[in-house]
Amino acid sequence: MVETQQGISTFLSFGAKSVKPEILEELLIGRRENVDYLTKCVGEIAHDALNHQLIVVGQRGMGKTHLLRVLYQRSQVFLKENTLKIAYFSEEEYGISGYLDFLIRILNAFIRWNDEDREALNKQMDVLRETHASRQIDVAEQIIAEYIGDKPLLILAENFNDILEALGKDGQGKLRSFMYRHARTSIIATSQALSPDLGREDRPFYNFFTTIYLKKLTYEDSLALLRRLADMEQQENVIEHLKGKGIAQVRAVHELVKGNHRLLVTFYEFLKADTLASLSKIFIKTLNDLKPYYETFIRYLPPQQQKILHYIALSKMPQNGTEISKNCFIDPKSLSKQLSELSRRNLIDAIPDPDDKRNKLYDVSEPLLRISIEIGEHKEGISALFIDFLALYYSFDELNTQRERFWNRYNDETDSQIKQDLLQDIFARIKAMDLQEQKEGKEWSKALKSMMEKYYERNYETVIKLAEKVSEEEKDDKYFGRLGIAYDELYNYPKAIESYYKAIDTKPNDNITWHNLGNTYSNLQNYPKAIESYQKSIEIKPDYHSAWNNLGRVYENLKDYSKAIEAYRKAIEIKPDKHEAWNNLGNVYDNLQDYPKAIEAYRKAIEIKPNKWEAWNNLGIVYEILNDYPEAVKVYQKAIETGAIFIKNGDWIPKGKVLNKVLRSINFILQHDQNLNITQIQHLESVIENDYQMPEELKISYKYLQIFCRYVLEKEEKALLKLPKEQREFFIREILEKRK
Amino acid sequence: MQPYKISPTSGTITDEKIVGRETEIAKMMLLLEAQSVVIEEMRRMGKTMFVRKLAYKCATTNNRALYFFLQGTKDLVELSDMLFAELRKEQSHGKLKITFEGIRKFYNALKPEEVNLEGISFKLPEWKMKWKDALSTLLEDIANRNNENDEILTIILDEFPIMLWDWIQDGKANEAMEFLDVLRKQRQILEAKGKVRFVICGSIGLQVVLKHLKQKHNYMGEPFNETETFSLEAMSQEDAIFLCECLYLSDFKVDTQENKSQYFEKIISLADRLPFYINKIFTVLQQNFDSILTENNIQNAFQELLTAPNHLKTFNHLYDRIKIYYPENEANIMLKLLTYIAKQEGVVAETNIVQSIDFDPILINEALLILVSEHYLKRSFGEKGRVYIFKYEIFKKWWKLNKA
Repeated sequence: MVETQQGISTFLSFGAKSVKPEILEELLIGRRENVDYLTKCVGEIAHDALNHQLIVVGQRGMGKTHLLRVLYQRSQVFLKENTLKIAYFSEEEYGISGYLDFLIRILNAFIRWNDEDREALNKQMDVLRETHASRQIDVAEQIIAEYIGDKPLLILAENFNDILEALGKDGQGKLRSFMYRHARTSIIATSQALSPDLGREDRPFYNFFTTIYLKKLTYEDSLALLRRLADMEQQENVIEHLKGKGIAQVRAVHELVKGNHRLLVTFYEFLKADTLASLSKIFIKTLNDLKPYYETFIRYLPPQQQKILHYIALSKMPQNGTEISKNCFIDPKSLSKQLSELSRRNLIDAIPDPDDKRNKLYDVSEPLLRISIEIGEHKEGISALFIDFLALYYSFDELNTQRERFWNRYNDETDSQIKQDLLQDIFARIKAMDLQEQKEGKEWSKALKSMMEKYYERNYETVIKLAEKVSEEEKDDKYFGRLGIAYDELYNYPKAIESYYKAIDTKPNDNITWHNLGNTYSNLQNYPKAIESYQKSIEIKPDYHSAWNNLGRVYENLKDYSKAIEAYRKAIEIKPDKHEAWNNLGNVYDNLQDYPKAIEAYRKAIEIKPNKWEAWNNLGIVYEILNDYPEAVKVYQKAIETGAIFIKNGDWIPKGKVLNKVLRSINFILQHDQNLNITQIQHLESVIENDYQMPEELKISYKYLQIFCRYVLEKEEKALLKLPKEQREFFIREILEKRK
Repeated sequence: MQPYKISPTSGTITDEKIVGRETEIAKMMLLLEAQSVVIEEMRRMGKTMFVRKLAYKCATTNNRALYFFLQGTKDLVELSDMLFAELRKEQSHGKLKITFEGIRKFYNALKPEEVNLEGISFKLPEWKMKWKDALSTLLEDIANRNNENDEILTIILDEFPIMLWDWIQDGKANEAMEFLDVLRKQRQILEAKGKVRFVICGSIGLQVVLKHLKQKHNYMGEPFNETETFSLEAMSQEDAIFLCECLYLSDFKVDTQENKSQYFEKIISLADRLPFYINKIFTVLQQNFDSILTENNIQNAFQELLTAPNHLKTFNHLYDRIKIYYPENEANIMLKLLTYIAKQEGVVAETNIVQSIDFDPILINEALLILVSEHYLKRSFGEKGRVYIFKYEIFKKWWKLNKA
């Protein structure tokens, strides 16, 4: 053995190559019977003077390398007792371009795996290199014949399909001829599909090999494999998980991966992942890693087959020939040929049409392939398979809870990239919930699907356009609810209200629709109706904190502060970390001039969400009112710093409003910070420069900071003249005078 | 003879383990006393096993036989070299008495520095134009061998017609014709003087190749006109039972021992005593029925063999060979005839066929004859004149299920 042998982590990352044999033995779940049978065959070759010509066929990721590797390991016993010679082609056979290469590969395999014969064989290889090209095949055959002597030869090869293709008709003939001249030659090989040459009557190996089709893992196998992995990795939490709730999840995963070994191992990582965000991250990362492999693979298919695969994969459900022909623009005659070729390559499955047994439906057979095509096509980056996964893995309520949790995190988050990720997580949950509903009821029409897709993309104009195409029967609460949101986002409040009421007609007890209706009325300043709607939402779901919070805002606008406080307090009681409610509560106490309580509420909001700009700003105002300028200066400093982040990521408060407040904060600091030094000014300058990226509104403030530094701190008299007259007068009047 | 363990296979088997065919081999040896023999059978009928056993059996007598698998031999140079290398190897084992004087002289004339027989190879560029002389000289050497014991040397050329067919497809029809001419000229001398016999064996008929050469290249030679044609039929019942006994030793099980022979008979009957399909039924039983022989398992395994997509190619040669080796118009008639006959119960009269299939009756008659000679159909004469039936019921069942 020449290769370095690795542990379980290597198996998880790279598959079976170079992994310790005992680990591979341990993980032979669902394949043990196959390997035992093959081992028996090798025993018969070595001891019973039998030959075996076998091809093991299985899709990518079904454990072929693993199987052959274990077989080779188990065959060591025959090598040691010298009853067999083995040529084990352990690597993918990219280098074979003809029969001579095949023979050389046999010799290289002898050299690689047999330390004691290496030197002698290398000398023979030198002779072969010196031989005239026209005679090299004969010499190579002769070296092999001499090396094996009277022992049987077993060739263990992967990707035998590719090898046969590379050999071509002549090479195959020569190989078969060799196998008659050396009548104790056996081949046990693996392949993703059977080579067409094995099914063509004019080819040398027509019907020559016995084929063993690897079966997909059963659910029990899948569970056993995951448990074994967890055991071997000593993942106590996963082991426990797989005794309880995890069992149902494995069933869901099993259904998704269609019994594919490698993909199941990938999903094992999910079980280890402890946060939801990392779940989607691992998923997307794994799929992105797989993508180039499949892209390369698909690229070498004929264009018509590429089109068919794309179409079927993206359809997500089996398609019949007529649909494929129409959508791929392939005439039925060519289509039949291409479908049969794709079937032969094990890339698609032909399933009898349950509605008409004479017809067939076609589906992509490899989940990995389908996913990789989907990734390529999904602009938003969420693979449909991930949605499938979520829909199967979690209950509707769990998904809804997750959605809300992500939504809250989205609102709290300041990093734009993380926000983007969270948004994807939110939409993934919404889609998964939709999918669950679809599975319960009938399938959505194309029009409804397209409308929903546009909704996920937040392309509300198109949502409204597409909504018209949806048939009357399909217009349910979800349809009207989403349409209402689209109108609301486009400020068409009357239409939004109309849609929400239609949704309510269909499903009167939907707290979210009532809440959304309340928001629209609130936007229209129709506060009585807004209150009525929020109360209805709360009546349906008393712990719906968003409705309580928004109800508080309406009372606040109506200056009914006691009811506002009551509503905010209720929201906080339900969700103690609801910073929006704390900030709003601070505003009410501010209005009531109960400043200590206002300060307490704002501080609480900041404690929960340190980057909460509004709370910092509001707190600054309170300190200003209380004439506590040193504290106000400190707080405004924070407001300036967090405001920048808010401007970059906040998308519902007009940017100008925030900038005006930032500008005011800067002026306040210049006016009132008696200890203001160069370092502090430089810090503020860099915040404006780097974080705000110098918007027009702040350019003057920036200039004031520079002039303040030169004129006040460095005593440069002429510095004031750098300002135009009106700005100079403002600077003198509002900053210099006020500092005095 | 005691059964011995063999595994169900459609691949290779060691010569000493090839089951049965003793009667056919004896008949073949008898034929070879007098002349060369041509064996033409479609794929998977057991030709290769048969001729390999023939060679193996010859070795136990005074006679000698050499086996060559020719598919993949891409030209005459390669062929000559292969023949020579094998003869030389046999010579070194002391089994042949060929002096190779002719070839030695011929070779030294071109390459004086080479005197060693071991170093001789025709696969060098300078031999490219000399193949005809080299091959002729080699055959003369064989003819001149010392056969004082009057033993027969049989040269078995397996897949000979398909080798020529591939040459033709590769644009080497001239080479094929020249080779056939050399064989024609030398064969009689070889047979008479050196007691050399040829067994020409192929899954496509030599006649198909010759007909093609005649039609497309005006080749008029008849290189094997005095040879006997040997037809390899299904196994005898006794051989087939023995084959089952041997396969059974590969860890198969029966519910009760008393039923074993009944199960064997069922397998043999379903497989029409064709060894390849007997092996196939055992393979399916092994893979999908836990190696347990029962009435139901056998029936289901057979059904799977006929219909499951995984076994789609098992019988495909029945269809493919017609499409590959016959012109489109002829192939179309043949396929229609097979479909029609597959759908009928029992024998079908030619008169009925002519009425039911919309082709010229002469063409139909010709096509039926080809199908008989290709072993798809059997012809006999009844009250309604010429009647036809599938030669093997298993093929009829497959055709009816998959092609009709």
